[in-house]
Amino acid sequence: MSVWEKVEEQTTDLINKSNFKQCYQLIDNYKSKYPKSVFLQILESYIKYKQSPTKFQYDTSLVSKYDMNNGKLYTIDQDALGLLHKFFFELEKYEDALHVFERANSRQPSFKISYLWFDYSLKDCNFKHLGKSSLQLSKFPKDSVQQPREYLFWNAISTVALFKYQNYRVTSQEAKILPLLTYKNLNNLKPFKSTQEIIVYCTMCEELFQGDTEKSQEIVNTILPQFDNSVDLYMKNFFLRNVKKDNHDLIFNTCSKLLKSLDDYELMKNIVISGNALGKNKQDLYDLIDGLVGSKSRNARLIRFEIDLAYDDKINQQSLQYYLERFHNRPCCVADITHYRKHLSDDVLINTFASVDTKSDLIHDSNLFKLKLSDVKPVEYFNKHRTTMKTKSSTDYSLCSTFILDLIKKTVMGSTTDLGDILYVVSLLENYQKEDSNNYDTKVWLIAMYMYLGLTPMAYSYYQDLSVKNVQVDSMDYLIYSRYSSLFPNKTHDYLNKTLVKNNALYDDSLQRISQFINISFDRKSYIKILGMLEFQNALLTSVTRFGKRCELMNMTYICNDKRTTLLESLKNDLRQIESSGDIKFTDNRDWSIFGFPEHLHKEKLPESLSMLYIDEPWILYQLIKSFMIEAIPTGKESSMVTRLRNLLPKDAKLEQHMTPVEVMSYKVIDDIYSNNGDNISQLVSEIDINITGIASWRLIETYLVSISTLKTLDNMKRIKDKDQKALIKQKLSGLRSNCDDLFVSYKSAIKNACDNLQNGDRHETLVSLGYAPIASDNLISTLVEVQKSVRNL
Amino acid sequence: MTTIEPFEATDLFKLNNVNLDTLTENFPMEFYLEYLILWPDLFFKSVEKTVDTTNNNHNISGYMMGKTEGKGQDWHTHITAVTVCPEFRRIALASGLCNTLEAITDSAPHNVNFIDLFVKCNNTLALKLYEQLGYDVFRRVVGYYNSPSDGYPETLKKVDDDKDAFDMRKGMKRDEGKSIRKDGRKHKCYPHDVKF
Ligand SMILES: CC(C)(COP(=O)(O)OP(=O)(O)OC[C@H]1O[C@@H](n2cnc3c(N)ncnc32)[C@H](O)[C@@H]1OP(=O)(O)O)[C@@H](O)C(=O)NCCC(=O)NCCS
Repeated sequence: MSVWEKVEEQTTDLINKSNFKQCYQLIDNYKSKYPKSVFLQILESYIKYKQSPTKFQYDTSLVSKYDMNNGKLYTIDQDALGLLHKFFFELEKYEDALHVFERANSRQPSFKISYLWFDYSLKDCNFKHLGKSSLQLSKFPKDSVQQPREYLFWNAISTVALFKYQNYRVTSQEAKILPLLTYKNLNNLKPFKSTQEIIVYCTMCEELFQGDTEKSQEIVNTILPQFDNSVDLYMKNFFLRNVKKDNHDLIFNTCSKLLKSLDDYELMKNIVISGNALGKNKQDLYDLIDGLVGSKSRNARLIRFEIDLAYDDKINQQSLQYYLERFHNRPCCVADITHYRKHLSDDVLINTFASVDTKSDLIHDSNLFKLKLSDVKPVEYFNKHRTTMKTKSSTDYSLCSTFILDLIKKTVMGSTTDLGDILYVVSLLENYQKEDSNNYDTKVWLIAMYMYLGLTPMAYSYYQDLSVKNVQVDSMDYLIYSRYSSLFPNKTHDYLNKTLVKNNALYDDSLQRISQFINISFDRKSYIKILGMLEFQNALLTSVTRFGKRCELMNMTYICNDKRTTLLESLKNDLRQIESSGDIKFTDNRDWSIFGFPEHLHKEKLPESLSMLYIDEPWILYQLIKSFMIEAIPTGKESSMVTRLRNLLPKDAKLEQHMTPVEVMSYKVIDDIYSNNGDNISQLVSEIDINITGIASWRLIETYLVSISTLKTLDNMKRIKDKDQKALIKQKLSGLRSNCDDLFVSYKSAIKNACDNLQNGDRHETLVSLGYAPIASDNLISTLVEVQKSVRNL
Repeated sequence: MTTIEPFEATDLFKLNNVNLDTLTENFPMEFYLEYLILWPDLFFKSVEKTVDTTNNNHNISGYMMGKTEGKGQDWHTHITAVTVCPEFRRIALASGLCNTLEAITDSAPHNVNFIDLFVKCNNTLALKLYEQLGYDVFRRVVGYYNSPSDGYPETLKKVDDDKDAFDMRKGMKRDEGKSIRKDGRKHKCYPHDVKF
């Protein structure tokens, strides 16, 4: 650690403790030793800013003398550059933050500064600066670690990243010049020395010269000789994407050659199209493909559908038979047949299925059922095959789940769902789970149903069976951590105390390391995955799950009256990180397909049974805006973050579309104080309903907790001075608290009744015919008591 | 309909249908990135073209993670992970992924001598898969799957099918049979012997 790094660390500590006096003493000490230090001057200015950001006069400050428009100063002191970057970044002047390196390098060019510039550009995900700095790196052959040619490949990738992901940064002049320059630079490096270099070259030609047939031809010419002695999947794709579509001889011969080593459907499809154009007959193609990949191959059998369509414009029954002979009882059959369904009549399908098989095993039946080619009822099918669950290996999955999932779909995929529906589905799933415990298709539904009921501890225990970890967290955690602060804010439970913390390491640690990995890729000349890694980094950085959880963490501080300064700071930093690479936009990596039923389940319009998971980008924006409004209220000033975030809301956004009723109420109350001086606050608070009755789901707990959290926040606000208003808030708060137990009593009795109802009627009969017991209320109620205990003292 | 495509970091978001499987390891992000960087062409996936992706992101049916390592005669490909999601099992996809890895590394620039992998001695299903593809047991690695509480094996005499791995190999033509032995199951070694 250098001296200055140490000083910076010490001052950061002191700033965090608001101990500015000691901060200045420390600076003075060092200044007497190093009176000319630029670093110290900048640090002093930074401390002044941190001490009172609102009084900070940017135009007369030292830092402004380094900005890109009016500034004239520069420094090549690396620590000072790092500090300037941090300072500008916090001032949300992202271009200036990187410009300090650019100016330093233009005044006193060096490898060191260029590399620093490159490194910071990568961390900031600013691909324009990445391109500029990488080009500079090639200019110091004596000092650099790599050969200059390597930096030109770095530059090509950076330029592609710029055009592909941050096109808005490209000026019209750059749009003309940069592709030509990059092309020329790489061409000068021929012959290429590795597959990696060839792939960068082809990627550059494809991305920077879209629709340019000459470049496509060049790609093909570059790639073709490679096929003589190597097999590479990137090369395969470059060939298929760029070869002239009417060059049938070349396509036919090259794809045939590749098919020898790769059983690949895309290759086959191209062989069919070109074979047809070249006048080959169907049998030639059958023989060729079977000869190359073997007649057992699924691709080889399915491709006959394509051959039929190309030659006869319909799929022949013989081809269907040929496929089904081998695959009628493989689960892939459903996706395959569905894909060609419009060319196949039900009659032909039913007859052919029947003709290839007489045993009708579980997979065969499940395929017929999913393809809606059978009238047999799910319960009947289930009972026919249930014994197979006893004989299967425990790590295998049973397709008996098909029939149970169908019953679930019919019950809870609609827009209305009541407690009885949910408990019926829970009964089905709990029983099914006992015989097929590893099946995650059914388990995710069970988890979701417990979350719907607001019984988080039960959902959590099943979620642990899935052992979700590492990157998977980002696509799966929404299942139990959406709205967690208003469902189960129990800080001592493993749910928050252990798993949430462990899972957040993905964002707190791994995410922060991605740019190092990208750096290593550049250094090791491993270029081809860099674009994917940049995209991956961005998707994690802007992830809906990540920010959903961040918002919940903020909400926890309102509910528990916790300190929130550090949290707000880090939230701002996260947002700045996104803002520096473009607008604040979120990426939804949540895996909705895990629930199945893709034709019925749309994340924009979830069924009531999954309503607790309904969180979209405006929801996140509203939560963030609310947090920053609460932060700004004591200052009486406008928050620039609030303004910026508000501008990002869709023009016609309606609160009710994106939030639950109680979330809307909470937002309106805070907004009124922030934007409207609290003029309507008495009215809004008096409308808060403290007798939450008639709700029997997660919504009961959520309504209670969001109301509590809002009232507590108001109760702590010094801005509210009016005595009557203060009294009203206190009165609502105590009223709500004293109703808490009653609310739970009524919910418990609703659960008890719904469970009792499952003891007779149609649903009871279905359960009995499956050999299943209706769910008993005891466990549910004791879990509800656990939730109640964590809620009542808040 | 399957096509084999290079694996990209962003695919990590779309693997739940494959990785929620109890027998499939879900590695830390850093491990995946390391493979992407060090062996970019040996990490690939099978993509299902018949899956309608308009509202379904489960079109990756399986993937292969491989690496090359060793010096001289030991220069070889290692299969680190091969896995296929339940919906697309038993249609030779795992076999296809192994064959693709073989095609890629049995040619330039890799030109390896053999391919190897470890499989739990009691995983009869996977053993059968690899045997059908031409792999033979080269040696038994005693205690390869020992948990921290089992500790490091002290002797080669104590064998346990649930803790030991078979090191299976398939020789390429240029290897001229040097990595194959008929009585591989009788040869035992310690886990540290299989580090390259
Ligand atoms: C093991 C696994 C990769 C097999 O994938 P797959 O695509 O279904 O395998 P294939 O279709 O290529 O099977 C090839 C051969 O393996 C054997 N095999 C595979 N799965 C089998 C099963 N469930 N039961 C019996 N034999 C099986 C068969 O001999 C099969 O040939 P066949 O279908 O002609 O009879 C897959 O089940 C899986 O991903 N499991 C979880 C992860 C794992 O265990 N990986 C292997 C670690 S070493």
